[in-house]
Amino acid sequence: MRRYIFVLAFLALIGLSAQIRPVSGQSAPQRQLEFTIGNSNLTKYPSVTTYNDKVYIGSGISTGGSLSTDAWSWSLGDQASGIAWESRIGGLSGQANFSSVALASSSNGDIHAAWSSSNESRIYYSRLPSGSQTWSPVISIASGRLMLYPQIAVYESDVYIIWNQVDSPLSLRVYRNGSWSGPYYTQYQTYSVPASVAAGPNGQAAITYSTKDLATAVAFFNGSGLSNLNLTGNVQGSDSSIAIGANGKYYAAWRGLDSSGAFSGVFLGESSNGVNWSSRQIVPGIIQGTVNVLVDGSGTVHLAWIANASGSLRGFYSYRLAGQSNFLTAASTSTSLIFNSRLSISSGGRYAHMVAENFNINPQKILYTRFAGAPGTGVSATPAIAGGANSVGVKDKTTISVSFTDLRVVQGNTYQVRWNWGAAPTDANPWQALSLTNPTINVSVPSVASCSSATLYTQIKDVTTGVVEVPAKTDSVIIDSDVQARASITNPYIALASLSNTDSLAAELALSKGAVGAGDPNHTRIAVVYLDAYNAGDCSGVSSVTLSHNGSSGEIYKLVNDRYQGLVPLPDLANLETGSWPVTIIIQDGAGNTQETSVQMVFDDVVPSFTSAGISNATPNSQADILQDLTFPNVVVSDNIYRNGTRQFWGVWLANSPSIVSNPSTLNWIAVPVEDVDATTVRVRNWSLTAGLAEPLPTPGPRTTYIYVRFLDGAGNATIATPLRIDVPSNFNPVKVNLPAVMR
Amino acid sequence: MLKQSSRFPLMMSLIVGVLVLGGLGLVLTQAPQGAAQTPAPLVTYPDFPPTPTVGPNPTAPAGLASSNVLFESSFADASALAAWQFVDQTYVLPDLTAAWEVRNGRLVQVGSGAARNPSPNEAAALVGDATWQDYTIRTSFYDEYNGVVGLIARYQGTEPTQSSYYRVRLFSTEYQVSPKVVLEKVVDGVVTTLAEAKTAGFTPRMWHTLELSVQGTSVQVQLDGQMLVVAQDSNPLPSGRAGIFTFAISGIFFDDVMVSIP
Repeated sequence: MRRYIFVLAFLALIGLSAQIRPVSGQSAPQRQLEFTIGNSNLTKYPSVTTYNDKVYIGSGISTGGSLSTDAWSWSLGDQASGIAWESRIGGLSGQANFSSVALASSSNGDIHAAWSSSNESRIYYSRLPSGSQTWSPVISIASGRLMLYPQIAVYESDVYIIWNQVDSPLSLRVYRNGSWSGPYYTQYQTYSVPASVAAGPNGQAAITYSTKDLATAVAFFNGSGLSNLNLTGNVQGSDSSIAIGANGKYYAAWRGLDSSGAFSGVFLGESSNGVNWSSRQIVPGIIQGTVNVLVDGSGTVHLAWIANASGSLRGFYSYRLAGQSNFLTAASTSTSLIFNSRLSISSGGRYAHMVAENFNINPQKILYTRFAGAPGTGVSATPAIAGGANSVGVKDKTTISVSFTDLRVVQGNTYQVRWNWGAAPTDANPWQALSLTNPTINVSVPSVASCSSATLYTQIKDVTTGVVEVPAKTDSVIIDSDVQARASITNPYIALASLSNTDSLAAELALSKGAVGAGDPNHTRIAVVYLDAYNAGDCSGVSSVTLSHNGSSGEIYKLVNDRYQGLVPLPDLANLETGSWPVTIIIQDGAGNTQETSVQMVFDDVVPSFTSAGISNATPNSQADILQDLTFPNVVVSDNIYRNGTRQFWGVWLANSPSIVSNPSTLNWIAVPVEDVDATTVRVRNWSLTAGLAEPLPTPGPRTTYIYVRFLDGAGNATIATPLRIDVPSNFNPVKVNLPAVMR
Repeated sequence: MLKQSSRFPLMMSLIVGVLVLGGLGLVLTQAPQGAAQTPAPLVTYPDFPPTPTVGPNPTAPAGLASSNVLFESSFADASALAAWQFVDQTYVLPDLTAAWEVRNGRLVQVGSGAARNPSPNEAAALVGDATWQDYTIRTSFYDEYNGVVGLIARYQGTEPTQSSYYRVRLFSTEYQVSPKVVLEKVVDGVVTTLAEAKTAGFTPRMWHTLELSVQGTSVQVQLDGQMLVVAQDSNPLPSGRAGIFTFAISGIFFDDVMVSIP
């Protein structure tokens, strides 16, 4: 008995739950904005397309008289209150009915236009590149008598243009892989109303049109022709449109031709494969012009049509969420007596934009109406390469990190992502898992030249629902594959020697106070080196240089205006010991690339020891005896570190004096490297007898100059023994420069 | 204890019974009322004022009916169309010629072509013969949303775009155009305005009567018995058929067309 009771209770709950309809997240569409475009005189069959948050409207217009004269375009933001930009696409000529413009957008933001010019018997094409204000040069893609009602669809870079021709099948031309093909023809002749074309993923392209006997037909482009299907059989239907969902599903909408009953009103057909269609009447009644169907990335189906309501022709818009069967209560245009509507959606479906011919005005003009209310695509993620950096370093890397922001997802569902450099992903690009908690993936480094821009296209897919993000999102970045910079560390005294005045420096640094200002570049007698780092053409700039010793944490020096120059401590200073001290220099550019070099610095704070020397002598320069070559034979100096063959000193420290002095340390000493004459003798060439002397300098004439000599190791440590002295008699003849005679 | 244990299933049965009945009741009351019922629309329209009811036709003025009638039609059935020739006064594609029907005892302009799409093409329905000289053509009309109504007199020619005739065009108050009344003479397809009036236009969604009279050099137009425009043509068109005129965008119908001579 109790089991029976519970069964009954279960059935009762089923009965109650059958009344529950999902309504959350739905709000009936509302009309947001409506206006007539003032200069769209004589419009017929206006067109609208969108890219991201921009709306583009196209139409033939008349700039005077009773014929259409120009193919024209207008643009506005999808939440703007008026036209922001307009431009002539090209010329056309003819009766307005036969001279119409169609627009479509591609995933990179290009806007494509096709239009008919009946007096010229041509179909024309042009493109507005993304971000440009100027339409590309017009090309003619077809010619023939009474070619009408061109329509256009674009998917990635593939372009599909169709048109009617009186008493002929519908024609299709296709632009793929850089060239046009076709025309291809439908099986049935067309009735004289505009058809519709849609393009989708995986190369799908579908057409719907009204046959001569007013059936609604669809045709699918298979790469070399069109396969055809009559959707309505013997029941009349016309003014159809078609859309392809992100998952490849087809949607077709049309109007029944009866004024009431089961064969009147709006019909919607759906098919997963294009062969088996399920069709339903959406609403009965008198419908005029195209029934527009679109589907957004979340599977929401958008419908727009013109119906006789309250005794006049108004435009209507509604939508149906994925998985639902009912559409929301429609919103209407406020203006009545409008014909031939077209629809586009923006911001993932949140806004619907209808254009139509407003026949309340003479001549007729474009009525633009914006509706809102649909939730928009639930599948969206914006990629950010390297966290949104302007450039990314790929030196020694095979992958780049890409994170995703602005996620429009359903928590709990499973998501995948696919990506491609330079173009929207296709089936050739595999799906990979995308975590909602850590939406980051690694993508391979693109094959582009260093310092050039690369654009990454990504699409995410809700695996739970099968909905794919359309169009693909993009992010661009400068690919920087190398470091173009230089960095060096040297004996600090070499840099100090270039300073004109060192008076303000500490005594051990101030050459003016007796410090030795030279030495081997890789030696230093104090725990300091001179660091010079600069940008040598890196497109990302150079951000820092780091000095470290044997894996120590190192010191980081930031570059300012792409340069760092200064005295810095030897790295790992706390552990510094006399002797070889390897230093690792790491330069990092603005993109994160690093370049590493090693320098064998020598820290030497021990003075060399002087033992003995042969007779030093001075040989005057043959042109001016103020210059003397000083020769030092058989010098015996011992140093703890410096070695150059058998020689254990780097150079000499010299001081001139016009007289013999008791305390030579008060003289101005100048460090000079020596060169080897032979295995036992070294030499200093062209030593100036005036070097280091205070002003005024001695005048020419016979005198003796006394040169005091001490010896230096690589770090500039000087011997502390009593300096040698070389007595140099000379006439103090200065250097002469003989200038060439100039004759006038 | 025994009482309690026997009471529990009874209570449960009552509760479950209420749930079952409630559930079934709801299902039944919400279910379609029979298989033959038309499926509910999958979308509903917002609330609009109901479409105005089309009232009875205006009665003909006293005296007109007793005059010498050249032609009259109350469009009792589709056979009434046989007396008329329907022409498009601008070039149209073969699929898109203006379409006319007799519906509910009225001549209805129903758009263009078999698909009945609205077209801004000028459409005319002609009656009579080329010998008709001085006459008045009168019609009742009811405009839902077309916005344009007209009458034609002394129509001569076979090629619509190269024919000759008098034509008056009236526009509704809702149609943004000026002037609202234009009386014109068309000679071999070339239009010359004889007279125009910047009135408010006719009110849509109500019955009106429109008359175009040609008497020698005089051309007159009356709306609802009131003179709208009068013109003198010193070089009048001699004779020709009469007709009615509108745009092929549907939304207008005519009744009680009469051609009479004074």
